[in-house]
Amino acid sequence: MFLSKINIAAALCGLFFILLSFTGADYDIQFVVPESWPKPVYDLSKNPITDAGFQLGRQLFYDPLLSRDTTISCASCHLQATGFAHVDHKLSHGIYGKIGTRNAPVIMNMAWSRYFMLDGGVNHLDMQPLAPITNPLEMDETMERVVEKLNASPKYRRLFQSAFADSVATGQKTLLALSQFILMLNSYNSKYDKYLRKEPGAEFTEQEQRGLAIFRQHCAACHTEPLFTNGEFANNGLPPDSALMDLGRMRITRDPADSLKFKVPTLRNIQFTSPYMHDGRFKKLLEVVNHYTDGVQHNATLDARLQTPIVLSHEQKIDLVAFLFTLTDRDFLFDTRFGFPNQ
Amino acid sequence: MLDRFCGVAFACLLLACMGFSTKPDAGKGTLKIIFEPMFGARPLVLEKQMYHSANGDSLYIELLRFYISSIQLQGKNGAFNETSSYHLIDAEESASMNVVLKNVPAARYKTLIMNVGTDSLANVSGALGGDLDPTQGMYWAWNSGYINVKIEGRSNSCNTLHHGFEFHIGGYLPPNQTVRNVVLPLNQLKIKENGVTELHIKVDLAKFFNRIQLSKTNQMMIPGKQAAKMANCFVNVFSI
Repeated sequence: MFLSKINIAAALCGLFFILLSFTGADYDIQFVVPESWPKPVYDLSKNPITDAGFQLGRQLFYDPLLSRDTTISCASCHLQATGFAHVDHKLSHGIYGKIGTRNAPVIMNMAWSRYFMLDGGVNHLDMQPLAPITNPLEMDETMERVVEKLNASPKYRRLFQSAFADSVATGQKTLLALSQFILMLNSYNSKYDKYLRKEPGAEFTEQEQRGLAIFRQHCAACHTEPLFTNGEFANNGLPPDSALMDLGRMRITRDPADSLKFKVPTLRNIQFTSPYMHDGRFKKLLEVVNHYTDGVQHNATLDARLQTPIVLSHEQKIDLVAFLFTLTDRDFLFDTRFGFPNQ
Repeated sequence: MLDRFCGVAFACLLLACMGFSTKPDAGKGTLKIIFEPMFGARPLVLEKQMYHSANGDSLYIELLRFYISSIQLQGKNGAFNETSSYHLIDAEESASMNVVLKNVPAARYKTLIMNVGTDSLANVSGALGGDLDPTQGMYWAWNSGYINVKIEGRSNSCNTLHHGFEFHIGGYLPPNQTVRNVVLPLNQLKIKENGVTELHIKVDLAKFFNRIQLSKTNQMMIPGKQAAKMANCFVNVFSI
């Protein structure tokens, strides 16, 4: 009898706390798997996204404290309005005006990515921020000092307390919080998505429909829907830049078969993610399309799907670009939850 | 009303927890493993002491750090398996050299088995804490994975900047994985009920440097075939 009373009391307590945690939400922070999308690669049960964890990650993402001289934040090269890419800059920037060796990639739909970095050297989203933080040409900092700086900040002690019920910052918790923020940066409300969902007002023009057909015939094998990437590494026939001599995936695997292969990027929001390619060599989308029709260099590791030239008329190229513009997701690019945080 | 129910529930929970924790683990004892860095017969002194390898290299050692994981004990009447435990041993931090295993069944043990390095699970599981926290400086950012063993120092044999040598041995992908399994005989080591048994494991770096020529091998910073070979050299340093 006594035991059953305790059980009821414990159950009531539990319910009370659950209710409390629901009503405490300032933002609607909920990870969504869009209909007909594949299962995310990231195991969210190991790092459940909470409001407080997301907000801590957001503060970290926008904070130059992560760099050695406190001048560069993640957002320095990953701007929301351009799909978290670095608009107008071919190569990423670092402290003291140093220039990196690759074009800063977009950040979106990362929960579905198995490898990170253009050469796939990073095997887990949690570990991705370590690359720019420790790269001497980017933030040039150590995780040890980052954590020291966070622990010296009353603001971060408060944020860690509310995110992890412990005010002490660690490398693990810092990375988990950054993951929680990054995992929420998902784009699935473009005109293309609404068209597929048959939402009113999202009907494709004839030109966009023609562009979609061209895309599916010539591009979708690598830029596979709905993520617009197959997540693989490919040599797309770009002649290597003689100054950078970037061998891509081979740097990681040291397998000559991987020479000049780079991670296939998503095309979502491509209208705003210029410049294009791993070294940012193309400014305009039409230049990219022209590369695939006329610029592909045949070398040992060229992707099999590009061995036969893609032939497109000028009108078809314009149709294709018109379709690519339907991948723009303004809900995502201007979502205030992902912007610079108020202090 | 709810408050009172909560109070009662919490008090009961607290009592229950206390009951569990104070209950002695019958038939269990503690094993304290003490790693002892050495060079030959003498305890290792970092930076100040010059050592000589069998290959004729004179050298100073400035840093020694490595991971030990998944310690197992095997005996006729008892067995102990440490699961998902990773210990970073650092010659500079005396506390790190003691690994305490609690709740080991009281028995006599014939062998100790342990991993030198981290298994592939630790290398692909994202951000981990404790000894595996990336603030420990044992993680490669540009090519994901733990550095299983770090040995740094200097020797006039090395034609490098400041005559330095740096061995960062890591990599988890087959066929060049660098985690190594070590089996050590325990000679019927007795774990006493409620007692603490000490076990000293020697880490003799002479056995590493006797296997390499510092003029030829002095830098190791990436996973691959060479790293796997270096892991084969390092695994010999352990003995009871």
